[in-house]
Amino acid sequence: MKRLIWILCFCLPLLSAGAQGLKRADAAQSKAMIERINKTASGIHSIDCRFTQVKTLRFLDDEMTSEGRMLFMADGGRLRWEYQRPYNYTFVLNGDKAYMRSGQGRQQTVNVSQSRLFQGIAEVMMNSVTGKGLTTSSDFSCQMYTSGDEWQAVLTPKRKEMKKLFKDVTLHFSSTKQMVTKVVMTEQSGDTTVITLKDVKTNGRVDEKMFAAL
Amino acid sequence: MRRCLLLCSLLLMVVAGVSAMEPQTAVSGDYLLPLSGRQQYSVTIDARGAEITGVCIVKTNDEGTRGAIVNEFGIHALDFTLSADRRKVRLENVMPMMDRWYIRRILRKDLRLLFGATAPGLLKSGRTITVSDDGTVVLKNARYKLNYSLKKINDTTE
Repeated sequence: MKRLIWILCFCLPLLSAGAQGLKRADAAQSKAMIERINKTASGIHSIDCRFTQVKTLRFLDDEMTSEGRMLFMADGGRLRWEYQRPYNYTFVLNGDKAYMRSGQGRQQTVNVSQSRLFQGIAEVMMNSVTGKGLTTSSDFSCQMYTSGDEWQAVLTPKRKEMKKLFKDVTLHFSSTKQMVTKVVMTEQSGDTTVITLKDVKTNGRVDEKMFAAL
Repeated sequence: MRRCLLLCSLLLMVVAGVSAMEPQTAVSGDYLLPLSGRQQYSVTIDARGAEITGVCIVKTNDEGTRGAIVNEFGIHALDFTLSADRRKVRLENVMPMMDRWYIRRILRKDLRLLFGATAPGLLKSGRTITVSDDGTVVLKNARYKLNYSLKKINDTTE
């Protein structure tokens, strides 16, 4: 009897996990999900949130965790991605310009429109924030999945340059809020970078100076 | 003649045996980049004006050191191993854009000099190593116009 209880104890969590497993959305479901995500994204003018980034390093059998703040303004497609711990690094995307400043105070400006690779990375970052434009991307193909109260959009790179960087990028959405909660970037080597967004405040006031050249 | 050949081969066997038995333990002395347990460095590589920044994570045990360089967003650049005596660097999983034999050769040599240096100054092949007041170790490779800066990241903030 004791053995039976033990077996049940082990099996029940497995069964519930199975019930929460990934299900590939069919064409109609995908369309409906993407429409809802786009509708929610259209209503978002600004986002101010914190994020945690965990990078797995299989070669070292280790993880690297960093934290920071993210600001987004839909007007002009502006984004500020700022790492605050354990290192300082700021990335600002403002129109076709990307500004970067490292902790050692070095600054760099890149014209995004002149680099196909940078355009791809900028697109991943902007998509990762709102989920908007999942089906219109020329750089990624998108497949939707459902998993319990979560939706997932698996973006697979189409272009050679992006394929070298990522195997896929998975955006996790809350099915109730239709907003991105987590981004998982998987490299060809199998190493992953997981970015979790938290303390998300939408449509609050964001200082425009935060997107100025660094 | 036969005796001479015998002596030579005996001598070679002894020399080979001794060198094979040489322990691969760390060379005594203070390195500019001390390694123990797990450490993180902020890294900047300036290659002919183009700058790459990121984080170098190194883990050390009795067998040697394993390291990885990733950019701040987590995109992986390369992995490497460093022998316990810091004389050998082996590159692993180099990102496709950098995976060229001539780039690997320069990187391997520069990493070996960075981690193996015990004092600032002029090194062989036109390379110079300096340590700034804030502890940043800089290797300048004049021949290929490459600068490497490594600064230790504390647990809390940079």
